[in-house]
Amino acid sequence: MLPDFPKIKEKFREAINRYLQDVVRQESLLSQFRQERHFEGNKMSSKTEERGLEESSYKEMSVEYSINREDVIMKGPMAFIENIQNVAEDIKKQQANFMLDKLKEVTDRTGQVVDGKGQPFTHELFMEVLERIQIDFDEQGNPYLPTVFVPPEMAAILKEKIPEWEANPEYEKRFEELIERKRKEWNDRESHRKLVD
Amino acid sequence: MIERAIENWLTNTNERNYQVAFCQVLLKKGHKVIYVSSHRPMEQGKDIVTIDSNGGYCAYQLKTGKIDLKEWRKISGQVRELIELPIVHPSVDKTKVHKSFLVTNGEIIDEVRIQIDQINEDNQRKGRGYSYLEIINGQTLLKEFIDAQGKFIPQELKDFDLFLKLFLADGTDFLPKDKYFSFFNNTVFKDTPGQKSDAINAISGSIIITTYLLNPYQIRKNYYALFEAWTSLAACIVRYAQRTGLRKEDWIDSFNLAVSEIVRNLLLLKDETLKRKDFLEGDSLGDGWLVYRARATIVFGALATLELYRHKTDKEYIQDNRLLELIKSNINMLWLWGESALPHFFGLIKYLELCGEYEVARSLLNALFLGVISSNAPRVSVSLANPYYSVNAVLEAVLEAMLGIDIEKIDFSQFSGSSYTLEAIISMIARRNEKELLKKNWRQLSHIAFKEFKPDKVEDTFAWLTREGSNHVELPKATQSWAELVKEANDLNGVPDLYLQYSDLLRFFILVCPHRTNKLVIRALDTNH
Repeated sequence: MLPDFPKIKEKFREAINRYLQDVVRQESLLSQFRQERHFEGNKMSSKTEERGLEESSYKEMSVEYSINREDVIMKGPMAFIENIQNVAEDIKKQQANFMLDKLKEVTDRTGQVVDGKGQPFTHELFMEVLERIQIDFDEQGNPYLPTVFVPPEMAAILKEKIPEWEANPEYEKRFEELIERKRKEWNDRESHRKLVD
Repeated sequence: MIERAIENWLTNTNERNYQVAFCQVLLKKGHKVIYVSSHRPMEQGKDIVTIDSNGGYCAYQLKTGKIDLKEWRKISGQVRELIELPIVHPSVDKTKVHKSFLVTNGEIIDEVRIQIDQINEDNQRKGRGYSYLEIINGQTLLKEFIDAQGKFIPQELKDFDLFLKLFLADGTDFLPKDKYFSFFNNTVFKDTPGQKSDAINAISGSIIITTYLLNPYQIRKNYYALFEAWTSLAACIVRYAQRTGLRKEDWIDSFNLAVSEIVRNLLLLKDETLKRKDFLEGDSLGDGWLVYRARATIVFGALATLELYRHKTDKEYIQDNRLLELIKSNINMLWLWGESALPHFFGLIKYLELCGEYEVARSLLNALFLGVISSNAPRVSVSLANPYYSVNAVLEAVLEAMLGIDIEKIDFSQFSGSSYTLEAIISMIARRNEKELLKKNWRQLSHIAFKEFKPDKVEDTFAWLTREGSNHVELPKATQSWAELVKEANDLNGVPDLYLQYSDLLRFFILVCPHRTNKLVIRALDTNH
């Protein structure tokens, strides 16, 4: 073989890998989810009082890409970095789809789906969505308001509408009433968190 | 190559370090080992006492290096005790004369051999009834060790590379446990042979390999790493014996040798700790603060666990007030660096209770509980790392972040809202009837999910990592009955038999593999059975 530089390459590999992970995690949807590394095992399980024991397996996500030798020769690690954006986009898409599928699976099962039936997104519909969500509060009673995932076109509409809704005293009142109801529900839930005889 | 490695180790080591390998050689020859001296001076000139396959008693005195006339004169008093004094042991009939062996890893010069011959002849001629003295030198030992190791040498190049990495380590760090487990699982314990004798040979070979593989740590007197190594090997043996379905009597003697080394190294660690004015070690640049506190927690946790083991296994155990006072005076040095510290805190709490220091133990348990529920509450940005992250990993991340050397390697916010140890800690509190503490904090703790890895095969509890198993998560009950909690905390029915059978090993094993700590392991160790 010709002389190689394995240690230097290892550093590049690590740096590129870390860069890829950072780019993927910057995605607005994925950045909302926490990541945790599992060191062993081939499945996951969870147990809740409502649904009992549920098992699931891991899903592999991968992207294949190729870089021509000329590019490697001329650009070195930059050839990979230039491609990383495409790789990251692909991984983001896979992860985001997986997350949305999972969310859909859960919301379908728990009956938290609001069907807009093709009608415009109104304040009524927005309130209905919030009604179905469990909201937690901090020790001072401030709500941890949920993050809303919507398609880009919907985001543009909401961006326009939310300030309008906030300026409307009637809507504002309805929102405050909803938060108050949610606060009561939270207090009720919390009051059940106790050690009894 | 491996033979050269053994030879190199044997010629440079001392009698304490080859003692266990020699015992394994004797076991392989059909001896029953009934006494092995610990790290204390030998009793009546006998380091090892065995009963051979013919029922004869044998006593061995182990030495280091060349025995010339000068050395012979120095040790002749001990040798006289070896041959003249009967073996004092409940399993030995004192009316029978034993065979004596002088063993060294060096050579015994001819002049000494002649003197030994003369002593033997004189004793026989005069009918003194003393034991006959035989000699075993370094060359004989080397052959015995190579034979006893058998065919278990690394076959694959990557395993050979692993062997060299372990054999050539500088010996000052913790044991690289992932590498160590990998080495044994890829070589000695790789196959589950059809022949029972092959499985037994694998276990006996593992003792020999470990003895010389640990040479770098022996040279540095790195007793904690040696403790980690023998504990890991004992765990590998239990797992392998379960997988191969061996009868306990076929391997338990080798297992006991590994356990005796666990205890011996912790006793040596204790001696050194008790002599220290402080716990700084090595280069002081980079020592102190969190490094110092981590070291104190690790050492005290291990020594407390040793005392618990001795109390359980030695009827004549006497509480050591020196250690107790040292721990109490350094209690503020303890550091909960992450959930991998739990086994050390568990050992300390149990030890303090054993010594009647209930208030100190209680406040330590309370602090542990409150530390976990506050650090790992949902939405906390820096939580305690889960037990898969070693103290080294946590220290590295903390120090790098502090010094701005690199970006943080661990995202500590990922651990918020869950805990691998909280359920075990809650059970400990329930067993101690501390209802008010839990009642006061139930609302807060009920937001923290219990996590646990459940291996598919119970014997894989003794593996470093395993592919077969489930990463389980479960939320505590919102409304929890105290009566139910106490009942479950004391119920040993759900605890696997394997945990109860090997609870003495498990006690040490969780210090070495903290990610194997779960509520059932702690229940097995916390309840008297």
